[in-house]
Formats: sequence, structure tokens, C-alpha cells
Amino acid sequence: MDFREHQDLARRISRRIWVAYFLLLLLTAAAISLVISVLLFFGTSGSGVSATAPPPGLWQTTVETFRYIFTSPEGLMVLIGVGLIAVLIMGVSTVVGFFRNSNGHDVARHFGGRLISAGDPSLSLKEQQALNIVDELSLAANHPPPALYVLPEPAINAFAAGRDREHAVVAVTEGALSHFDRDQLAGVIAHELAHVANEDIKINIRLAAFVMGFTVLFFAARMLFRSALYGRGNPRAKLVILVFAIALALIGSISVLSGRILQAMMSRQREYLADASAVQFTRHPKGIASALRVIRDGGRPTDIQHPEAAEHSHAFLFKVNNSIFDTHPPLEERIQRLENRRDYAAQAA
Amino acid sequence: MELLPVALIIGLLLIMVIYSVSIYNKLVSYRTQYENAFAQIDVQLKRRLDLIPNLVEVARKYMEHEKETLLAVTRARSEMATALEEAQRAPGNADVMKKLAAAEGTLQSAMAGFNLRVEAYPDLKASENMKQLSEELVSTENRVAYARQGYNDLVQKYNEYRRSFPPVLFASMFGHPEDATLLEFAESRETLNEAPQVNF
Repeated sequence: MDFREHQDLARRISRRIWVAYFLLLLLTAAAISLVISVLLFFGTSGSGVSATAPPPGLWQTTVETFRYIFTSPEGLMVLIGVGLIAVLIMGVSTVVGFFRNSNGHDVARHFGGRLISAGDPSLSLKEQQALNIVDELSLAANHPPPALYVLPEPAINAFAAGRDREHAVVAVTEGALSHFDRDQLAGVIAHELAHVANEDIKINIRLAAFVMGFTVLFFAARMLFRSALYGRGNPRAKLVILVFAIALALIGSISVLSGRILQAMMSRQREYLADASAVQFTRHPKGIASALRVIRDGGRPTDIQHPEAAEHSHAFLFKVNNSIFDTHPPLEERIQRLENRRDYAAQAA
Repeated sequence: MELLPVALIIGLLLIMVIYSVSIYNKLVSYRTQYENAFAQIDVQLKRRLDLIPNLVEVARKYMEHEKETLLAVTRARSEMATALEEAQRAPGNADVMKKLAAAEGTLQSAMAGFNLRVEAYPDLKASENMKQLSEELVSTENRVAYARQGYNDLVQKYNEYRRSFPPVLFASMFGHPEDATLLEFAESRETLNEAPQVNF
């Protein structure tokens, strides 16, 4: 495997996904501002019509409204103003999400992990080996060694967590320790260390924050819906608010869905990047490839029993469970890349 | 209205200054990174030296008839320790470096001889202590190798950046006129090309 080529490819696609996120944010804001403007002017446009003329049809009013919004200065001002406010609100909730605390130690302990520290005489040979591997590979990665946890799970899996170097941990299950030989374990730990070194955890937190920014729309829609249903006021205004709430919920669901899909796409690219970086650290593609093959052929479960595993699924080495929004690329694909069995640079061009 | 062109020129100059400062800082950061990685290799070599007395201690109980082998390992180790100390006092001195390389070679062959003899002692191989120690030995060798590899990766990053455009225009001016040197194999090219000899 030419790991540098694969690393460059994954980084390039990651950048494109970031751009797509930004576009999604702008598009959502534009849609919201359009809806608000239309409703605002829809509500007022009827009053200007003289009593003698026949009442305009719905279609005609709509066209008039759109024309008014996009041609008159005050119409455009409302459109842009509301758009900016929408971007601001979603932006703020995204930023709030950025600073969500993510301490790897807490995540590992949450899953019942046990901290493995050097010099502990009660360590088993395998645990000592895993600890050694973390230290060795940190030298290769030029990165301070993260803390190591062992999870009391019979399944084969591993994860990395923690938003920065100080809070980073790598965790492996007991199943992984007992089923992998030294080379395979080194491949797996190198993959997790790569997630830490490539700051994938930070990226995941940011993407989750973006999606959270979009879900804010749902809360707004629900609030409006309630106020329209139970609040006092004239029926016409209530109707407008109700329509607005429904439109908001619709826009929200489309953007959250797109956000989730982008999130999964990014996660898959970061997996490829971590595989390539694992090869950079170990210079031994067979290690990680054969670890992946153990999972593929042995049919060993990778399911983590812990109820909240899905929330952290992006961080695990293998799929926690199957879904449309897969956070991991298919194993076969990963193995083929590691063993150089297809030309991926041509595919991406 | 001559204000606009003046403002443009000032803005452009400002951008150039900021850009060259970032190039300067990046060059400094990359150099510091590879220098630090070089220090790591030293740390790992010393770690290997510290491990050997433990190994000999465990092996002595089982290998009473192999005093020669153990002695060779101990001797090679202390030779290596002296050479490493000298190398630290006069880094880059060609004579000292040659001595260090020779000591490393002696130690490696002594260790190889020792590992070969261990095969003849199943009790020793199966003992818990020895299992732990051989894990430590594997790990130590990996650490030395990975520290070198990590150093080389950073040197490559520094060189690549230094030679890329536009940093290549500024590199010499900012005190980075030359590529950093990659670590070579301790063995000479000829030895590497030789097929390994296995005796039965």
C-alpha cells in the first residue's frame, strides 16, 4: 500500500466534505429566510388589492409575493436579514457543540474500561504487550503515548477517544487482546493511534455539533407549533405560524438527514486515513490487514454490549452494528486497499 | 484619489510579511520536531542497555553451562555503554561514531548468539520471567527501529517543506540552507545485500 497516496486522497475528500457542510449550512439558512419572507409578504399583500377587482388566485399571489421579495429593496433586506439570523443561530449552536467536553478517560470508564499503567505487577503478559505496543508506535507517530484501557468485553473491538493529546485514550477489548497476535494487535493499536494523531475525534465532535446546529430547527418548529395551537391571537396569524412551523420542520429534517449522511461519509474517509496512517507507523500492512481478516472470516462478533455504544460508534475499529448511516467502510474494501489490490487514485480523479 | 492604490500596496505587503513569518515559523517548528525525534533514538538505545542486565540475571539460573555466552553479552553491553557516553560528549566526531557503530555491531551479534543458545533451554524459554523479558526485548528493538523511522519521517517532512515552492525562496535566508540528513543503516550496503546465513 502506498500509504502517502491514500493519506492524501482521504485528506482531500475530507476537505470537500467540509465545504459541503458549509454549503449545507448556507442552503438551509437561505431556505428558512425564503420561507419567512414569503409568509411575511403573503400575509400583507392581500390588503393592497382594491375591492372592485376580483380577488387574485393563490398562484397569482404567490408569484406576486416572490416578485416583491426579489425586486424591492425592503423585500431583499428582509430576506438577507432573516438569512443572516438563521446562519447566526445555527452557527452559535454549532460553536456551543464544539466546546462540549470530551475526555477520553471518561468515555473509556463509561464502557467499564480498566486503565493499564506501566509498572503494575499484576499486568498479564498480553496487557504488558499492548502497553509496549502503544509506546513503540507513539515513537513512530511522533506523538505522546495516549493512555491505554482494556474493556471487559469478549467481542473484538477497539476505540480511540478524547478531544486532544492530554485527554486521548486508546481502548481495546479483552476479546481483541486474546485473539490477536502481536502484529495484528500492533496494526489495530496503530489504527487507533492514527485516529488520535489525525485529530479525528475532534473532527467527529465538530460534525456532531454541526448536526446539532441543524436540530435546533426542530426545537424552534416545535415551539412555534405549540404557540400556534394553544396560544391566543387571530386565526390568520395562527395559520401563518403553523405553516411556518411545518416548513421549518421540513427544512430541518432535510438538513439533519443530509448532515448525518455527510457525517458518515467523513467518518468513512477518516477510517481509510487511519488505515493508511497505521501502515505509515508500522510499515507493515499485513498486520492491520490480517486483523481485519480475522473479523471478516472468523465471524467473531464486534458488537459491544454496552447500551450506549451506538453513540460512540464512529470511534470504534469495526462497526458496532449495521445501519444505512455506516460510519465504517466495508471490511473487504479496507483489506483490498491495504493489500493494494485496486487503483483508488484513478477512481477519485 | 491616490488613497486606493496606496492601501492596496500596503495590504499586499502586509499579506507577504504575514506569509513569510508563517514560513519561518513552520521551518523552525519542523526542525525542532526532528531534533526532538533524534533525541528519542538516544533514549531508546539507553533503554535497551538497561534491559540487558535483567536478561542476563534471569538467564543465569538456567544457563549455568553458558557462562561464555552470558559474559560476551555483558562485555558487549558495557562496551556499548562506554561508546554511547563518549558519543554524547562529542557528538558528530567521526572516530567516536565509528566506535559506537562497532560496539553496536558487537552487542547485536552477542545478543544473536544468546538468543540462539536460549533455544536449547526449554525450561528457560517457558519460564514466565523469560516470556516477559523476551516481550521486552522485542519491544525494545521495535522502539529503537520506530524511533529511527519516526525521525526519518520528520526529516522527510522538513525536507519536503523546505524544498517546496514558495518556502524554497526563503529557506536559505531564514537559516535553513540544507536538507536534514536521513539516518542510514548501521550495516554497510554490502552486508545488507548478503543473504543471511543459517547454520544447522
